[in-house]
Amino acid sequence: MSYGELRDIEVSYDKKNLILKDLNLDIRKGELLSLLGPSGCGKTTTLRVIAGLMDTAAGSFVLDGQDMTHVPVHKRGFGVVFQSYALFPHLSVRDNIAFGLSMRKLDKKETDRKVEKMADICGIREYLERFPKQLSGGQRQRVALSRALVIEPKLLLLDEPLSNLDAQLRIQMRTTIKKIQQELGITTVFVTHDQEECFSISDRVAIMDKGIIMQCDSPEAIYRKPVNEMIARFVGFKNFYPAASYRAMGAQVSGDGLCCIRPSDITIRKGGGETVEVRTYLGNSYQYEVSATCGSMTVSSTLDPPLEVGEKVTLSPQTEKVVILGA
Amino acid sequence: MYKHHLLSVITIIACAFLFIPLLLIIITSFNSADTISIPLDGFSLSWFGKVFASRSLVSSLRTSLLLALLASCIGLVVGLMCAIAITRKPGKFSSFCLDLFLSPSLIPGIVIGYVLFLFLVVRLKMKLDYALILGHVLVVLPYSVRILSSGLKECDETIEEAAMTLGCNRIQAFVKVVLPDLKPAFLSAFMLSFINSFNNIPVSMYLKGPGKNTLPYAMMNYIEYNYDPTVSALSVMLMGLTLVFMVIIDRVTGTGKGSRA
Amino acid sequence: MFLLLPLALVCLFCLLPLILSLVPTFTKPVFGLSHYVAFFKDSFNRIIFQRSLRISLITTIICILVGLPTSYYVSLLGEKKRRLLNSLILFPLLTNAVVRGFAWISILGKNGLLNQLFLSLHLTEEPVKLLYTEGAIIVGSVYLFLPVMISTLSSVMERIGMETVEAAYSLGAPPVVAFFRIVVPLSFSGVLVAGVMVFAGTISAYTTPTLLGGSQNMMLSTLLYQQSNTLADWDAASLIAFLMMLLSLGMMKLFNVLASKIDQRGTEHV
Repeated sequence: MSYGELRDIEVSYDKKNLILKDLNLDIRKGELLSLLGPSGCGKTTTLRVIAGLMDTAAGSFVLDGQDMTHVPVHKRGFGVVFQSYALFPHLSVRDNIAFGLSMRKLDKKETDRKVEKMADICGIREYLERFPKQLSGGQRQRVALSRALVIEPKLLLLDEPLSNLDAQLRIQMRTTIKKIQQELGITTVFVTHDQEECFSISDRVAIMDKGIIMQCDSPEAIYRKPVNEMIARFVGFKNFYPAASYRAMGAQVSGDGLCCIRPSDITIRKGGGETVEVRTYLGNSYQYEVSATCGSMTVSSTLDPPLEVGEKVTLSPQTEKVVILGA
Repeated sequence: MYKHHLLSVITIIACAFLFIPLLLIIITSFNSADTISIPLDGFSLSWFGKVFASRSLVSSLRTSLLLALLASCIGLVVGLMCAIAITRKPGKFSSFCLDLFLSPSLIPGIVIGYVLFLFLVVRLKMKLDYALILGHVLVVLPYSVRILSSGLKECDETIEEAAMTLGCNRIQAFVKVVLPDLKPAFLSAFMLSFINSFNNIPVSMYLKGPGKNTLPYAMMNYIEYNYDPTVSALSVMLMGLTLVFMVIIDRVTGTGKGSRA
Repeated sequence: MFLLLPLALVCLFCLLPLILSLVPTFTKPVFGLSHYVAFFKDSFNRIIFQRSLRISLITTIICILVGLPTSYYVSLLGEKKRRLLNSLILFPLLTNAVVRGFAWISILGKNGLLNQLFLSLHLTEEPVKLLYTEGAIIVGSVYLFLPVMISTLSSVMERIGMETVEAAYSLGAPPVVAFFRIVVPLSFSGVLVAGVMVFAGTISAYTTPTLLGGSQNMMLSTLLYQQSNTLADWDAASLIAFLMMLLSLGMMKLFNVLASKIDQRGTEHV
């Protein structure tokens, strides 16, 4: 039994165009589950359904045995971090973080203790008396996080929390989030469109497109065995050709499905029937576009000395690294 | 999401409060009897005809139309000059000037009317017609300045420079390249000026001449002595006209924004 | 260059007349506030002054109490419904003050629609006096300025943003609490700015008090017109004009300063 279950969720804005249809998702206790996909795929909508901010036309949401489907937002007790952080501009950082606690009618001593403890965990203790206007993006983000965590939520929901930060801060913050999440053991659902960010910290990833979850698995499993072409491209696979073409190059693959392989999993040797068309220097390796019988193959190799344009080569895709996608 | 019942009740009351009185005027203008009542005794368009039969209403309509036209045109030209000067030379003086040109909209209309009357007509013995036009130009100037200067600000200065590299001098570049770009701003400034001059009461009140009235003032007089659907009919026509103007403004500023790359 | 002509125009024909008309109220015949003191000594004037303040204040308060919830509700709605409601709300702005005044005359008058309704429902024996009261002026003034209040507050609501309110919900605040603890404080400076516009507008209006209040309920604007046109008492009229300027411009300056002080506390700039 999963900790959280979304079953057959259906959402639409105008009863005609469905944003989510028959959406099913399991959330395991204590995990960091990411919803990954391009803009418009429905990942934020799904998060808002979980949060209670979006009405569903059909379907149910159960958490820890309780049916949450018709429970209003303010009674769900989930911590939400919005993309814009949504800090209350007229309240100090301390009052922002304490807001959820004041709703739960905690006394002042208890509130201060919890606020300060959480501020320590998130590293913003010295900003408690400041106002959001005076903080940088990264600081505001940590305030938003503290505010959501201090209420000891059953679920932590993060809507693209890092997309407004610069690259370096983004990497720093995602590690911080993962650390805090693990320390506190809070089940977390994290929405993002950045594949690298998602794969680096998630326990499981649900990849979505057009309102459907295409694959929900650990990052390693998705990385090794994507289920369709879109996901395969997303995680770095190239060279999409039918199985027959791969067989022609010596790989032992059966069936007629579409196959693909990573550029680094093709062995390239001098001499043979294929020609190198383009060579690109990537720093630690070279990438070659080779014109094979089936089409252009992208191969990367650390061969030293590197191959020249126009050289004749042989390609041997490693059989066990070829991924056969759905027919 | 959370549409509280009390909130929606207040909103419905507010919208009804704002909409129903005018709806009632529209309905009562079609009454066949000469009373303003509901339900209607019968359906008739005669009151619309009566509007045009009333000499005072028609002549004041003509006066208002001419005045609005004149004031808006002058306001546009003067406003353009202000806008150009303000946007081309940003700085403290410019923002001071901007506030200066927008100030007539902050002063109570009746005070402007009174002060102009006292100063121009009584003290300087200026002809009422000129004073009236002047007063209306002052009233509409803020609209032109505001709309034209924000239109100019949005303008890309580099298109002027491009024109100059292609052979135009400063003035030609401005006329050929910038002015056409401002067409939507001109149109909406003109229409807003026109509407506000047409509807103006305080300034017109003071500066109108004997025998010469603006339409709003003529309407006020008419109401004092007559209580029949003629004014309802006139109101309906004015509402329709303003609606058309607003739709045109909306269309024009909408497409204007779209065509700007 | 370009600025010279318009500058001359505005200065000469707006500022100069203003100064020349209003300054004498302080300097003729002797420098001082003697005219003003005399003005307020007269109970007739005092009543009018108080009435103008009272009516403007009540109108402003009503506009705020009705406008704030309405603009909040409208901001919660979807695109289509919001556009429909906005057109309904802005509809009165298509008309001039006479038409709006006339609409209320036809509703509130002795033979007006409301009295026709009361009589036909046998709620009263005789027509109720609704017109030519202070209440009628208040109704007419609210009618003039409610659209302005609502549309100003709508843009304030947009600036606050739905996500901020949703954050409050997610932290456990029921809708009513969220409204009073988040929406109201954040819209406060916007309310001040819009409120002062309503106040200044109501005090400056001429048509509405004349049509709906009549000669028994004079306001500063009607007094001004009477003094200048009917009685040709320039000194008295200039004095009233100055008072009106003071009330509207002075209030505007005061409240704008107050609003920006509040913004400095850390609220989003309105």
